[in-house]
Amino acid sequence: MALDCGEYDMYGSADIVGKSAVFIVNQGSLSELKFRLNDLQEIKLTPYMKRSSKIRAVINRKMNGYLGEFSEIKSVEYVVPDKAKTTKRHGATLITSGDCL
Amino acid sequence: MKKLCLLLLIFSSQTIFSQENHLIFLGGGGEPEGAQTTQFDGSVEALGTFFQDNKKNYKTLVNFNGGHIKTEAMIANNFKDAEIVNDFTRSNYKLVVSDTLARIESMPAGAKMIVFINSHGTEKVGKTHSISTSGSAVRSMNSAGGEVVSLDNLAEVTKLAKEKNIKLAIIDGSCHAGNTLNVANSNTCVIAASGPDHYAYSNFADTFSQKMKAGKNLEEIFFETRAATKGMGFPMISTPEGMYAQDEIYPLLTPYMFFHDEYRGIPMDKIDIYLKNNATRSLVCEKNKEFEKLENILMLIKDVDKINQSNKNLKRLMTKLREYKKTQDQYLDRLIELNLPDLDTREPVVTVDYPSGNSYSHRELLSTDYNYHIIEKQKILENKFLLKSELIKAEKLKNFFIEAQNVKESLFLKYPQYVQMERIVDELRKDEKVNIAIATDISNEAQDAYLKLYSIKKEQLKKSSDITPNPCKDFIL
Repeated sequence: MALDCGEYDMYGSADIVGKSAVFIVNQGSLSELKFRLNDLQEIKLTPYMKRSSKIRAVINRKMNGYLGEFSEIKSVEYVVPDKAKTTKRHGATLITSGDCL
Repeated sequence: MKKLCLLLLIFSSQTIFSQENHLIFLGGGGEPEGAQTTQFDGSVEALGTFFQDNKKNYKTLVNFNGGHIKTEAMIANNFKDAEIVNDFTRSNYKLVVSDTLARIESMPAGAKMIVFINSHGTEKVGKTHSISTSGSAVRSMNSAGGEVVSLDNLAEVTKLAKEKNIKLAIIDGSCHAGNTLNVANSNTCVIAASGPDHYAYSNFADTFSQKMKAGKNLEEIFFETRAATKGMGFPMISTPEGMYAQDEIYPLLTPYMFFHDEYRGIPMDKIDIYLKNNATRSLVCEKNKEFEKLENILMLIKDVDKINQSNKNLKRLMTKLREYKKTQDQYLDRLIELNLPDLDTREPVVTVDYPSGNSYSHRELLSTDYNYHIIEKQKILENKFLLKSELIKAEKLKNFFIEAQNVKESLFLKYPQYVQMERIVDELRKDEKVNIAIATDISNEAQDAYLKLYSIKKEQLKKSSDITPNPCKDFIL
């Protein structure tokens, strides 16, 4: 399901698909979301390519189905397994809702 | 055409086979192009024998492999009369999941379905994990790196099976399969070849399928398989007793089943990342406390257990654990003594094209192979069919990664401790004391402790008035 505009915490991984760098949430599942990264976002996420990571990112344009883009990636970190919290470590969580451009 | 065939198959399964049990066999993905076989062929053969012996009782669908000639011939031969969809692709997987739901809808209460999965598996992604599809070879043993499908889709299957009171079994033979236990419920038995944080580098799936015989229940097959499995892993089962035993010791054993090795030139790496991330005094202190807890549990089991042989095995496990902990502690001490700068210190990387650039932490710079990204961009630049704008972008990014590599190299000059750290990690990777043999020994020696905890919980459940469902024992083939 497409996400509304706003700031999100997202679990997923960055990868190069074809010619484009993307960040994929819920990869391979029916609820997969794909965000195309611009140059600076690709540069920021290069150390995290193909590795489970959590990002805080802003969406300010309406998603086209399951495809979208970020206006900003505020932070990124590796996801370290934490047995107490494993069931919550997926998908996207809305932090603050925002208006679309 | 394949989609049409599968849709017809969905329709036929709803109308003709409504009274039958079902077997769905999935996977075989992530294997290199050009190979004639896959590493999963052992389970193709053994499950094929089960199918031949029980085809009147199990309506079978095989969606396995894709592009490996000998494996395809083996499937055609061993699964004669089964419905076969050769390519395990994302689109076929989605159709098979829909087909599985349709089959469950048409099954009478109490009927049985087995979903047997054997493929390369990733670490936890979503609620469960993902497995490789056909047509793309794995590039990473932790995240697969090629095309994958998520086993989260099976949550819908387990939910419907419970609603319809269908006995469902999911056997996941892939690496990190323990994550699939998250979709188990009172009607669904899930059996996994390994714990959620470990590779299943063993013959578990092959052995399990060899031991599948009519009249046996899944819990007994699991224990027969666990006892006969050769190789690394920590097989898991979703019975209440299994969940208890796994929760008690698996997290504590986890670091001692990490190792460094390679599979077809791809690193199988858990130990060096684990040690790098734990090289502080406070984390070592925490690690010691956890080890003490593990020792206490094993001592308690040893005291309760009066069987001599079992006690000997537990003693051997404790000796091996202490030896491996000592090896890990020596590496941790050496890393701590380096007095590394704060790995979160940031360094700017800028180029003419990206004047604002990016500031990377030392951790990010040290863990990134910028040369790989430079090569990847160079490959794009050599593609004559791309638009000019795409070539310009690739050139700019390539130059940026060259600069990032320069900054990374300058870190080694500024902080010689990092050179030492890399040397220690290189040494670790070649050290026989941290290879797959020690991790395999520990996972095998832990069998008795697991069995003892399992039986303790079984006794507790017998004594209590609660009737806790055991979908694995209740699933009789």
